[in-house]
Amino acid sequence: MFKFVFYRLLQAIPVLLILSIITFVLCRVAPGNAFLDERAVPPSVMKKIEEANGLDKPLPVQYFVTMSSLLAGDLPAIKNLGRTVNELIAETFPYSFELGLIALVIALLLGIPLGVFAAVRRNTLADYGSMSVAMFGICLPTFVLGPMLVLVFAVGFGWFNPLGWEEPSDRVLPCLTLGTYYAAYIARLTRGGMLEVLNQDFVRTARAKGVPPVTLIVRHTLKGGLLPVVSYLGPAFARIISGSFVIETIFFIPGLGRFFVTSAFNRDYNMIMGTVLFYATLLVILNLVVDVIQVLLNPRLKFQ
Amino acid sequence: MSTKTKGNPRWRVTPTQAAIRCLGWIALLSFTSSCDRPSRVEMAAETQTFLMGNGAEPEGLDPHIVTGVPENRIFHSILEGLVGIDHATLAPTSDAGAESWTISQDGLVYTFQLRKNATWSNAERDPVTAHDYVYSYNRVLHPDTASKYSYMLYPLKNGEAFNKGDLKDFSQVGVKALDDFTLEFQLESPTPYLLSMLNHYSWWPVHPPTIEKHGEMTQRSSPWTRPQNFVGNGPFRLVEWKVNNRIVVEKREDYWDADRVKLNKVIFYPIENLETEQRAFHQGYIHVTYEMPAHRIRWSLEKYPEATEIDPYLGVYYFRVNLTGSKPGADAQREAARAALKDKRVRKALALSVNRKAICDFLAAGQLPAHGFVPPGTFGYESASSLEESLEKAKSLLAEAGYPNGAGIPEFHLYYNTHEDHKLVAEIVQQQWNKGLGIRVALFNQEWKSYLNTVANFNYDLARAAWIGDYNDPNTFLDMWVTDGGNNQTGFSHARYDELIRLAARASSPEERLALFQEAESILMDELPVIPIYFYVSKHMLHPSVKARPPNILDRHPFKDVYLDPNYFN
Repeated sequence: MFKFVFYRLLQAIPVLLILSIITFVLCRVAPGNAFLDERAVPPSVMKKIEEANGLDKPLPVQYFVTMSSLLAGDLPAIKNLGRTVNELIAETFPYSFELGLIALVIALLLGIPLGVFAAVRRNTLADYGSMSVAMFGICLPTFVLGPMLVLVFAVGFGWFNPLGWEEPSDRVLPCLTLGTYYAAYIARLTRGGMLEVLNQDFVRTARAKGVPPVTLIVRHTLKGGLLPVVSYLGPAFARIISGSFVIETIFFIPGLGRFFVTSAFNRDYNMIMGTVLFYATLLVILNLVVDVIQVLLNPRLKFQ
Repeated sequence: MSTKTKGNPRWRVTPTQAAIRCLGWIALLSFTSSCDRPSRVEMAAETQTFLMGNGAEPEGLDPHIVTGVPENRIFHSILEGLVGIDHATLAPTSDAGAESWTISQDGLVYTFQLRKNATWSNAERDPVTAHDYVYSYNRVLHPDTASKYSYMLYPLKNGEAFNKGDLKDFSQVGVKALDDFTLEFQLESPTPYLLSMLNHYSWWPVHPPTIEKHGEMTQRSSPWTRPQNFVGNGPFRLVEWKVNNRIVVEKREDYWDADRVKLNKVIFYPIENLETEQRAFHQGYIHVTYEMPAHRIRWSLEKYPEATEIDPYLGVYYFRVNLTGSKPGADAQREAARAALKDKRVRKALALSVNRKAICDFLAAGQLPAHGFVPPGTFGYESASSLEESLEKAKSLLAEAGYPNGAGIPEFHLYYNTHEDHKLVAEIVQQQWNKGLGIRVALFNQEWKSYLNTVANFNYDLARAAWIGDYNDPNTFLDMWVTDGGNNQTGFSHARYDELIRLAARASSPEERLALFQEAESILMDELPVIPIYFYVSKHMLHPSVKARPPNILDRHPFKDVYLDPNYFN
């Protein structure tokens, strides 16, 4: 297993390298630059500013400098003067992580039971009902659900603050909004996985031998039925904890998610590179973790 | 088809209607139950904590590097310039760094007596000296700093030469510390708006030892602006700065005018999304919003007239016209379009056929139709020229130019940056030109940086633009149109215009200056490298418990007198 993990990590290096080169090139071909402003500045000033940010050097040198200072942790953010990219990620990631983690727990707690329920009551009104709810959750964008929840529970009942991330209760609405979307997805995946397992011979045998339904579900089928959910969870977890632009904007949460969008709009080359590689690394690691878990859950798979 | 009616028709509702009613009931019922918890705004009145929505996350807090409006608001709390302003009239006041000043007869020498009891916010409480100002101006003008606002200091003698690197010796620049507390400016030419300019943060000082401690003088980015390092001379000190979250400043008890400062704390929230900000305001999370979404204004004026603040603002919304012609290798269409725009009569036809009142009515926030380029209310100025909107005249001009009813003009390409309002204005004008003149316009929406790139490279026929005055004087609106001016970006070049702007800078009396500017503006409105659309208004929600914060045309608000009235809630 350790050999497997080692080789997978080794494979990740060229992936990240190629990704960083693509990101770098895309940044440089995008129109405009980080320093272009409504107020035009004299070319001499623009030249000095570009020099100060190392943009006057040949592109390969720029790439090398960007990457080495990113690794050394002293790559300055262009649009947040006086801070480094690493610092910004370190400062904002915890918010996104907390938001994502709670949302994911909500998603699992809602989604798995819903999916199991639907699978067991397959093709009944209960199945259609819960899958409609799930479909609704997938289709309803967070920027609609978020303000709706705020309208009812913050503006209406006055139970929560409409925005912010200060009191513990401030977590409820954003996490619920984000969690609902993922819950819907998980419910559908769980249903699919469970149906497959429930159709297998060993389940019929177990039933024939008189295993009580609850034991059958929890002890014999759930493990297999959740495999699709587990493989989905890898990338989903990476995405959910690296922040959501929409949720963070609606609820005014100082997380990392906003940087994915704003740094691109601002052409903050360094921050773009930082966020892209951070997300990619998360994705690689979590996919690896998921692969390991898959093997542990599914005896038919082996580390290769 | 069934002819039976199901129940009383009054009670028949569609599921959507039912859902809306349910939501309505929930909201209504809960309103009554939610009023017991005091809002943050209410609690803030007790502690005198002013909560501000502040737009985007500030790029930085170095007054010599950044250029944004959110930063400007913060600077008013933690820094202080030589001259203060009257909150309402913007007239210069002597309640800032300088306690008095004299101006020489020829208007070329300004001598400031600095306040001896003004201190920096560091532990040693260093006095703010004339040397600090000299150091700061060296920093702004130094070519290596590459300050975007360095041109604000060009009135200083040799300021421009030093900034452009033609002059290496800063001691030749017209700013001197005569002693620790006497500062002298030598000007290039009399600059009647200098005192107004001094209220812009590019003229505000920084603490030299702090700058040097964390980097070099000309370093564009260093940790000196971090809360633990920041040293300022304003009424508040920077205590906290969490990215995308908040900036907190607290009252300085050692500030020279501390008795006048009533607020204990100001918190700036970078709430970029306008809808989120509105929600924050209406839920008592902040006292004042940074902006207002256009579609809320009518509703807000009706429902919360006492909290909706809409005031004239020193800014103009206009379209740039590309006068540079087509680039080599352009297709025939672009070539023909640019050629048409080089004809003054075509530009005039476009300008005269815009129904500005219809646009302003649509935007509904009290924007004024712009028939000139300098906004009304600009200090000491009154426009002498005015575009007379007339469709008839526009049509005949177009025919005269050889394009009767728009025949022969290919589609014009109008560019604007992504924004709901810009889209609306562009669409209205597109229709007006199409209906009135038979001219077709294709609209191109680009995100901000791409749009800036398009304009800077003259890849447009027409482009939406705006200009907000840096200071309260017609010069800030007119000197940008000189030949090759950095913000001209239309290719407009007019010898007499350039001369008038030069002459105005040296004018000996306000009357002469006014006349020169008026002539310049009428040239601009005759040549029309720009098509003015409307004059801006500032739009905010301001909680009625906030007192002594009158509106002004620059929308600049010092914090000195502002206070929160706890009685408002009783």
